[in-house]
Amino acid sequence: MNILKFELKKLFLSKMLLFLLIFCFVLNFLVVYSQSYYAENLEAISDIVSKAGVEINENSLTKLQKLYDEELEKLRAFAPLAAQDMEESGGIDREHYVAGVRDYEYKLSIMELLINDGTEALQNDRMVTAGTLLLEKYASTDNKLLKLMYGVEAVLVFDNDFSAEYFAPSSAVDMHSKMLGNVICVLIIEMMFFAMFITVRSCTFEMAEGTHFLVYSAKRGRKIQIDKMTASLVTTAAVYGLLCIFTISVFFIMNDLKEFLFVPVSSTMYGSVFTTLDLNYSELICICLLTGLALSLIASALTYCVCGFIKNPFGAIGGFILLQAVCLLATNGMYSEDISLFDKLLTASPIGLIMNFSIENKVPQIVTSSLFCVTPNSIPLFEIFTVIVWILICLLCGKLSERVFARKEL
Amino acid sequence: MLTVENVTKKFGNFTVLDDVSLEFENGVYGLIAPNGAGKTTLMKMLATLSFPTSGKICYCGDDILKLDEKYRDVIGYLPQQFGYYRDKTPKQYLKYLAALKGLDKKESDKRIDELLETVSLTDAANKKMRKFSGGMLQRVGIAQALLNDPKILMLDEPTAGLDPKERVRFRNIIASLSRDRIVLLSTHIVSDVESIANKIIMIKDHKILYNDTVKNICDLLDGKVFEMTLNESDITEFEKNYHILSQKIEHNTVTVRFISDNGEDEGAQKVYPGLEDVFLRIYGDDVI
Repeated sequence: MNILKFELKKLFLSKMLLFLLIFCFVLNFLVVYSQSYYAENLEAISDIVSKAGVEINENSLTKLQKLYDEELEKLRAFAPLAAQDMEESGGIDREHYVAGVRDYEYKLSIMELLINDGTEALQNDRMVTAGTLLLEKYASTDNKLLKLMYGVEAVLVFDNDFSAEYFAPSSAVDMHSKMLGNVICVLIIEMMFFAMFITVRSCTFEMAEGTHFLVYSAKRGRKIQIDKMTASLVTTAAVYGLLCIFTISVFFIMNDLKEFLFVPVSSTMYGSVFTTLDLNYSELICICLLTGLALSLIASALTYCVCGFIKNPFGAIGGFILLQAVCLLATNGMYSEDISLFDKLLTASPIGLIMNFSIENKVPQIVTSSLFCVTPNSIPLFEIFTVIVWILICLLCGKLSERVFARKEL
Repeated sequence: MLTVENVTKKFGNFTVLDDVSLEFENGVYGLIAPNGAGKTTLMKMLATLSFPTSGKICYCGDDILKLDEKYRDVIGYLPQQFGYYRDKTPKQYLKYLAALKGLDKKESDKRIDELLETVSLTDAANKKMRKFSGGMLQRVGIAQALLNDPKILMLDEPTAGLDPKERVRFRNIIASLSRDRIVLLSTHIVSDVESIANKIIMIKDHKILYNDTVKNICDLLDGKVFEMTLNESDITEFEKNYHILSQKIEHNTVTVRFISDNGEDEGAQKVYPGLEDVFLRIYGDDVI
């Protein structure tokens, strides 16, 4: 415990960590900023939805209609009042007048859209539509095949178990997609590299400082590498946590999605894009972030394995990148329409999961390009399968690396 | 207690040590040989940083590689070149190494204070090591080797960078420590070990040449070492006939110390050989 404390201190006090952290904060801010297309729109939508309720039912539609009528009344009252104001002030404030009318019109158009959407949803349940469409498509198949292709949950959709409908304006769905796709993708990629740098620094620190003779001849000996790896994992998790808190906070501050966080993803599903688990957006974001954490820790563990074979820090970085490049080559098959099971298994790597983000879904209305988004090519719960497989690979390689390092000439 | 049994160490096709066997009991052992003779390799093997190609090293009858932590718990090692954390103070650095050596916090704090006092670094205990001179760093190195009160103390070129006063102080520390432990002192500076070593180990051509007391080794040249005063102009001719060990120029004369296998020359005075004389005789051109 004492040694671990020292190792953690070494990492947390390193200038490299601070530099990388600042770099990632800036990068993530820019990514979030560049993705925030509907900030104003979302603010207005959230305001309306917070008053009417996010779930579509008779009650919420009535509230929405009432809000619409009130807003319309306000608009009707605004014009004469504005004219009166202008008269009193002795001039025509055209800008104020136009902006005011636009504001009301804007709100009214959003309400109109939500009312139309809600009414349509109530009349024609989307889940049934989705089920019917797919049933038509796979009319000749039975449920076994559907289960194999889309997972158990997909079959539940057909059984019409998802009865609740939620308001899901396209801007909210789009922004959730940006969060689940682009933002989390950037977060995971940078964290994999961050984890690699942290681990390389920790595991090759003594070699770089020339203190390896003293450190490895002490009682703890070469087993200190285990403490160094533990420290790397803890640091990686802490840094990931910090980056997540920062990035997610910035994203949700810029994009007012609080009303849509607990909307089930399935309620906005059309066609053939499914999330394997029936989660709401906040749960989906959490599980994607947890997968990101697992991938970061796997990256750290893999780097530890490489460091067991290669003493030089640059060599270790090269080794890690080479390993990722090999995995990247193995993901080639994932783009083909007719992917075999073997090809699917080859894509089950951390880099494969990241590549998964870039696959264009055929029906991109929902959560395009994100983790836990099942495309016809992927294995159900592919992410969890990949994480488990790579944890096992890391454990095996870690043991091997430990043995090699224990017999290494220093 | 500590035995090196038929150890051979090769790096590829190059043999560094060939069939080396040694036994160490409590006392000071001076390992002397020119640079590149394999002293550091032997030390590294004793510190488990390197492994014999064949043969084994045993502590109390057990292979040190099998003893692992148990063995490293009883050793203290000062490498020839060791790094340090520039932004840390000696106290912080020693605390880290004490943790690696398995000392608990309370015990290590006390021990570190004692050792910093021993190596005269109390005043610099909280200064960053980036500002330290070579001698100060070497003293930090000596302190870390003593942290766990080792039963086997291995010091590779420990006096490098120390001034004469520090050297004497260091020798005294070693002499006092050697009563109840093995001290292995590797050096190519003969005077460092001559006065304190119980036994001298000399390596030549990858093998152990001598493993004996200072006296027995010096006796090898007894009756063969002489001193003589010559004119400066005669020295060139003299060099052709004798193996000169040292020469001291005073005014127009030169006092030479030399080896003669043919007995006493006219004007030469027989002197008792020192360890340095033996060293120069054995390694000859290797040391030039």
